[in-house]
Amino acid sequence: MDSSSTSTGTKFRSIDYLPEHALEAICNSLSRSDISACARVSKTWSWVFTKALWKELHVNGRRPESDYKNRRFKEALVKNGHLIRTLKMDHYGTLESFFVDNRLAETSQTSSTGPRAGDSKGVVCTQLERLEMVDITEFNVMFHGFTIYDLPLRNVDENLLVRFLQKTSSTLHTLLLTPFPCNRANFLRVISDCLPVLKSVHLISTEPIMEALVKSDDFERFLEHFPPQVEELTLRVSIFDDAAPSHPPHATKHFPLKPEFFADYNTSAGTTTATSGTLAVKKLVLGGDMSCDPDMLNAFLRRCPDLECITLEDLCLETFRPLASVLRKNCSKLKELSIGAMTSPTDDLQLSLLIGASSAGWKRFTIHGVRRNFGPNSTIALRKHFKTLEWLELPKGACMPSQIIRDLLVGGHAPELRYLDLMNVIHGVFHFHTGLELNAVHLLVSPPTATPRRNVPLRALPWTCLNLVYLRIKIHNIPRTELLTPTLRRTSNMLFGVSLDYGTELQRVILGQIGRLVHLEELAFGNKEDQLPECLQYDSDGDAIFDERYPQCNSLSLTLEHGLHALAPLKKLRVLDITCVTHKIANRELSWMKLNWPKLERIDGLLNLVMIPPAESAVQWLKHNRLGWVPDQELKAWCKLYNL
Amino acid sequence: MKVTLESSDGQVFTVDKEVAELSVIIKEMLVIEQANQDHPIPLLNVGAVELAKVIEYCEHHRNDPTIDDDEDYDSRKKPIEMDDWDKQFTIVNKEMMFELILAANSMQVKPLLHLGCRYAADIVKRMSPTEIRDLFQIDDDFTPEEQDKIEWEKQWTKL
Repeated sequence: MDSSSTSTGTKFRSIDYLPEHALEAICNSLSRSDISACARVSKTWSWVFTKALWKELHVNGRRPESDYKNRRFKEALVKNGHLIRTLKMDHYGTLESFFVDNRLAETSQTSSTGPRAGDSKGVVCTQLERLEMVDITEFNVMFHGFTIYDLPLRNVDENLLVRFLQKTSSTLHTLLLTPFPCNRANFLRVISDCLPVLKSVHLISTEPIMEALVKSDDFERFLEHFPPQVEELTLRVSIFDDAAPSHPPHATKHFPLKPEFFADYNTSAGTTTATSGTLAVKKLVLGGDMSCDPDMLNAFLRRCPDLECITLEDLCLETFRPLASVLRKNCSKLKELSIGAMTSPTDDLQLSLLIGASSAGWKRFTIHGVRRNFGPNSTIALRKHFKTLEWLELPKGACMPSQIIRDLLVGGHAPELRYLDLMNVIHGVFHFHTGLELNAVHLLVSPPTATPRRNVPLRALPWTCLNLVYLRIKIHNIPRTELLTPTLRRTSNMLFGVSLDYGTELQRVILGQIGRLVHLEELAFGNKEDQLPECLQYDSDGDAIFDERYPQCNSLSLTLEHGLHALAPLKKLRVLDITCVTHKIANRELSWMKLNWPKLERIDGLLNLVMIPPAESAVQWLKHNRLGWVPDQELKAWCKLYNL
Repeated sequence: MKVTLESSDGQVFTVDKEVAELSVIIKEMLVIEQANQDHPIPLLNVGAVELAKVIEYCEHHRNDPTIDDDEDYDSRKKPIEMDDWDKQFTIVNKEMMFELILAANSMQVKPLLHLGCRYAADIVKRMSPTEIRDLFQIDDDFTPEEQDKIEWEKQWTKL
């Protein structure tokens, strides 16, 4: 008996030797829950049965959208995406922000502001059933819904792709091609000819895209056939692809198009009601090392009277300068502006003109990477749009008068504001000779001109931006006297008359203010890009010793003693980012969070923060309560370190 | 006409040709080795016990309409109906049944293969992973993290 059962044990372990069709037959007689039980038996079984599980993916519209925006879901999908033969979808809205390459993160964020299913005028893709893309998967193309992702161009049979596109042509309305095969003339034709309901086109290339398009004889035809109903257009040179011979990312290259190129352009007749010569493009993204001739840009934009959203990445100065007038002249409906001019030497005035370009008022305003260009002029220009503003993201190093921030947060001037990112703003107004740069908190809770003292009526200015859903804010320099060095403690006592409890009291007030924002889903106190210098040493207890040269380390402490209780009303909170916060979170705090924030999915910076190692009790708690708040790997690493 | 088959442990079986031809492999071999029928056909992957059982099955189903088309066995189609004899036939222990699946697979006796698969599926139906592990004596070689991951991933594939 013993020997026989041992031998069969071996046999059964070799279940993966069964031919595919036998396994398929087995799986067919099993319910999905049975299959998933089998997948959890052992590694071999898992390998066999996971295949069966992922053969069909049902993106269910009844599930909460956040399920599909989840990082872990994305990981699972990237891992198993090639197994999917059948993709069932019954709610496009859940997908749009997801089935987009990470490199298009901004694009996806843009579209996540509201449900889009209704916008698409009935051409919503409801089902893509029995999509047997056997050939495609064999070519190792990740098929992600409407996105062809990381197309290995050298291997792909063009005809297969054409067939694929034709197959989905009646429903396909978002197309992302990366890398975009600029040199495949046939491909361009396919896009233009057989995708009648295409709404959104993202072409990302590793070579200068326009240049390549122009070189190809078919580009004129491509544009001729360019689906006039397309509302989103991205032309971007990707600088992320290591495999491809990379162009210097910021090489200043001129758009080699003739200005008359766009001027000559006419839409093919009769396909839409749009008047001849106009495009329906509402959203335009120009990116990469692409700079273009302003005349041409002008001509192009003139074709897009409906343009609502424009994203400009890395435009050169020559383009940037006249852009404001071009936009003002041509695009009266502009509502969203996003600038990522990393290298453009724009100045405050140029920027302010651009900001002022919308007559209707910005709903959404984002700048990345413009260093120190966002000054007083820009601020004043932006202030005009406060009434309509829903989304504000300010660049690194933006100098913003404190009054503006007060307007936004406590003044009630921006009633629509949902998303606010003040992480990178320098509150350069108050600099004290002690080196203690005053921080947002002081500006927010006390009148701008008053020196913060104990008797400042901190509660007199309640935050009014109660609609905020997303808040990123840098709160530091809290005079947490227990963290200050004796010298600094004396100085701050002298200057502010700060008592030992002042820091704690202040923190409670801050947290109390944030606790009022009951709609918050994401709250970030950290700033990943702005890694702090190696200024810390640890004492024998593992606590950080703060160097007084870096007083910014005195940030919020998210402990129950310091008033974490005040954040209890944030029932919708999903993501908490505490990178670079001296949070000192232990198991008590985590239990509290579990209890009070039912929707919490992620805590960034809990384990991977730069300054302080996480508390042992916190690691233990996380290990015990597997909630997926932190990445498994990091947790594992810390468990190992603490011998848990 | 008779055909002789030799199991991996050297036992020789003599069966009618039409019975043996239920196995696609043997049928093909017979075509190739028509001139050379005196030698038993060696079945290197199939033991005597299993072979006897396979032959028993084939004897019973010798008059079934032959289905050459793979499509009919396609897993997407409805499983083949089991008659009472088949039900009796599958009352064997699970070790035997699994051996039969492998034998049917190597000999390509398709109806038997699918019968076996259905049986195998019935065994694990509504069992928890732990029960399956106990039943088949499989070691749990997952780390808790992997276990957790699979547990988590399965929710996406539920219908």
